Amino acid sequence: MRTPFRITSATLDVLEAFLVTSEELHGFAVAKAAGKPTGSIYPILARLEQAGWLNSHWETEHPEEGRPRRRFYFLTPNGTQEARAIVIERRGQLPTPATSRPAPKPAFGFLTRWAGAW
Amino acid sequence: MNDVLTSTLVPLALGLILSEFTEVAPWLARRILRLAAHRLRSPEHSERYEAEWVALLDERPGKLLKLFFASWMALRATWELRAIHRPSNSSSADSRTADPQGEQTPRRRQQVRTAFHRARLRWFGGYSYAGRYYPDRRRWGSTAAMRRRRRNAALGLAGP
Repeated sequence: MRTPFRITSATLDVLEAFLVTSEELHGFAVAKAAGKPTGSIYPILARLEQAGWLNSHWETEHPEEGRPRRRFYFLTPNGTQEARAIVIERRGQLPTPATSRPAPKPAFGFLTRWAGAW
Repeated sequence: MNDVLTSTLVPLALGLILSEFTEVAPWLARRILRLAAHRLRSPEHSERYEAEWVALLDERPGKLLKLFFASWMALRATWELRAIHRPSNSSSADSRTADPQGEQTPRRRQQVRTAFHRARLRWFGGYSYAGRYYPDRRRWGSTAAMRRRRRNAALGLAGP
């Protein structure tokens, strides 16, 4: 499948993050869901937006006092179709919330429990 | 006198500098993000990304972490965003279809790389395969040739 930009593994992670959720995501949420640093997410978002796969808008609700408004990104209908096709082609299957869950972090609870035993 | 300096004044001065730097870090982070956004050279995109990144910055805990985040954004994102939002790229749809796979590398950089590649092949010989350069190992002056001469000299063999 020919795409208007190069599909890297980070791009696939971002597309999967959008396919998994039905909500609109802001930059930090995309980075968190894709498991990539924020700095590398923005060029990908810009490329997807330029290709017409993504659309974005500023936060419409009144943000908390003193907090700057965020920009939310969402897949366009065309983008959703393209993203599905690309993800199936490259990864073999569509992501499900269970498979896209981030890897568990090491828990350090044993330290506190061990300290409590003294 | 030296003891007083090393035991009291130097730690005190270092502490003051560090605390001042920590206090200044969020302001510095905003300045870095603003500078990074303005490097995009498109007023519309500069304004947008500045607001977006400042919102992200506010979500980051800690003062020094904000500074690291801003530096990372400036280093990592600005260069590529500048290439993506270049006026020739964003204004005309034709340029997107003309070079669809080359968007991640700025065109100027590609040209410089190609010229360098050709010059290296012309001057130093060797060959390129699948985008990689392989030097001519038989060439006079190459490390392989030098080792070969040394080995042949040790063995008493003639020839290159």
